[in-house]
Amino acid sequence: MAIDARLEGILMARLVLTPAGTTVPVEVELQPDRASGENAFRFRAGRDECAIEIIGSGEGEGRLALDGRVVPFYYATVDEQIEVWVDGCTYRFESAAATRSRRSASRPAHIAASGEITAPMPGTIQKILVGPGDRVAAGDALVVMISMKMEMTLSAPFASTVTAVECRAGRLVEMGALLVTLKEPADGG
Amino acid sequence: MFRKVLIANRGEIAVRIAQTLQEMGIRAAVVYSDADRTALHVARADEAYRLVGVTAAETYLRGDRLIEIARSCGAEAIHPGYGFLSENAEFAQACGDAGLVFIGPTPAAIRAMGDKISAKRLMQKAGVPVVPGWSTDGDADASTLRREAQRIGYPILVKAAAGGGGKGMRLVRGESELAAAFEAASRESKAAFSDHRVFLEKYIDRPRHVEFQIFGDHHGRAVHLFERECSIQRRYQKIIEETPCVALFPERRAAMGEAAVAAARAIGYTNAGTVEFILDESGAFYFLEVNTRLQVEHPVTELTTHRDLVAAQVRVAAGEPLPFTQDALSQDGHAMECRIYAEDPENQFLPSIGTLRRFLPPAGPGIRVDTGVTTGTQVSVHYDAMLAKLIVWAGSRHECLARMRWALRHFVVLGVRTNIEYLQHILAHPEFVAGRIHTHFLDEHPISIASADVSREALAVAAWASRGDGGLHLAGSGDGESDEAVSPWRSTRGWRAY
Repeated sequence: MAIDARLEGILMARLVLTPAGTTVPVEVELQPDRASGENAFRFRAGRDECAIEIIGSGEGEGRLALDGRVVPFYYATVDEQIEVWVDGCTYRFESAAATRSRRSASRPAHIAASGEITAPMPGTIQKILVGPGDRVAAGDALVVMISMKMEMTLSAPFASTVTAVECRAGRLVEMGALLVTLKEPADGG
Repeated sequence: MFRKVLIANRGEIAVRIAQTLQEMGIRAAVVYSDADRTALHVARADEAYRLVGVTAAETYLRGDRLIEIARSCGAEAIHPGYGFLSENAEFAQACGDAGLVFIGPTPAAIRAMGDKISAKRLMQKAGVPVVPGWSTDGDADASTLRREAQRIGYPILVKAAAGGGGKGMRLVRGESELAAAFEAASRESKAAFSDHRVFLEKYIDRPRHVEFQIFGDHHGRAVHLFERECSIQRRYQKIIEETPCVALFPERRAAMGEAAVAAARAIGYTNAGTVEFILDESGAFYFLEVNTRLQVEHPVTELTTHRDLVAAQVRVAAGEPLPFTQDALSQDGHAMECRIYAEDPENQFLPSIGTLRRFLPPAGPGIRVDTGVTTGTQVSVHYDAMLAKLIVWAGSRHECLARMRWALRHFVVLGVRTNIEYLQHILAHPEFVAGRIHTHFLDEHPISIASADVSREALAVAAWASRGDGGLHLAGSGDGESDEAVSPWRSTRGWRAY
């Protein structure tokens, strides 16, 4: 805290950002560089350091000068991520905290080692093919979903018993909603 | 000519049709679901009528309500666009019965071509080459199915008789997959088209999908407006279309064009339609199906023939002769279309829903964007995931590719995931650039969009954009809460300073 206090008024941002789709965080730092201009900063990303300037910024957009090159940018915060459009590509970043919480649950939505089958996409439950107590083999179809006219069958990841069905046919569900719970049979069971 | 036409559709195609109607001095009436109250097609129309409900079944598929609205608002004709009721013969019939002109082919032609099984038989009779296959009008028992599949030879496709757009279609590589694929295709077909019948067809390796735009009028004239190559598909859904097709030299183009017109004549086709062929590596072509509607990809034809297909549809429906003869039609330059979808290429292309926080399509010479969304539009699960069609024209394919790359690089969409970068990667692929494409292109050349490099510019913007949140305030003063009211991160609190 002592070090932080010393930086008060100088350090604008010091963040650990994780580009979406990767697990490697990047530490970035932004410090005002008043001598060079009102919107000039020293920017550091990892070992890379340079001078930047933000020109003509408006709501969610602006121009960035970096190394003598000026590029337009757009950004928006969406869910727990910040989306940045620059140079024809959209980049997504999340904070270190969001990365940690996501990593602790970083299996694909519907492939559930825990036996929780969740919706991999928002959509409508078209058909439920199992009920509580049913025994299913690996690969058996459990639920059929439809979203934006695409049909998708969710199957059992391993041989198991259906312990609960948490959805109803015809209902809309959000991405990640729990649909079916499975339990692996005990050894010999 | 009509004074008012009801557009029985939504999204980009409703917007596009409204423009032509208004240019022709015809009032454009539209309908909207509760989810589409603030949609662009409503804003662009001269008048708009509510359809109570949200799902397609409650709204845009309610033929009875659409006819009621058309009659009560004084429209003389209905334009169905594509999808929804555009290929529904009963709806076309009901329009006629209610004294409304259905802007499209006759119910009989829709019926004849809508059933893929009977369409194929009809074309075979008319001398148009067809792909080997097997079909039945009744239900298929397992042993017959196995025997016929064996005869055709794996791999085979199971396709919905009433299908289109890849729905109710399954690829079967061996006998073990046959029964499950048959059942799934049947079920999907039942859900999508209320018709469970499916048929088998020989799967042709590395074919090109080449379709011909046809047009017929009520005065016995039928023409084609050349081809569109739609080989770049993902899960049987077209994503990039272009014209001309690089694999067609003049003689083959003429032969396919003649076959397309012969197909049109065989069913006395009126209005706009598309005859789809597959072209194999040896140059042989086979009839696939006829789409009895305006196609999604019609703009590439418009840009190279300099014709407005919707205007021609309206004129023909009003009883006028076709506004062009075969001899007057020619192809000028090269046009390409990319379909921009709200989907996540990094997560199995699952639909991406949310609010469009920023939607800025590119503009400039030779660029056309057909869209039904704007910044602020909610992309929902209820309708198609296509946000826009980006269409470009240039003098040659080479210039066209450069222009499309430029346009994609300047297309800003924030708020939902899109396939824009995925499309950029396809357009940069040397095989695509060389024109060596086929319908399995994306399976054969998987496009990985994951990049190891994180742009320094993007990191700088992210840092700057989040400077008020957690940066100085958490690190410096230890009082992160006080600034939260003005922070864009208020609801997340996720950003941490170190």
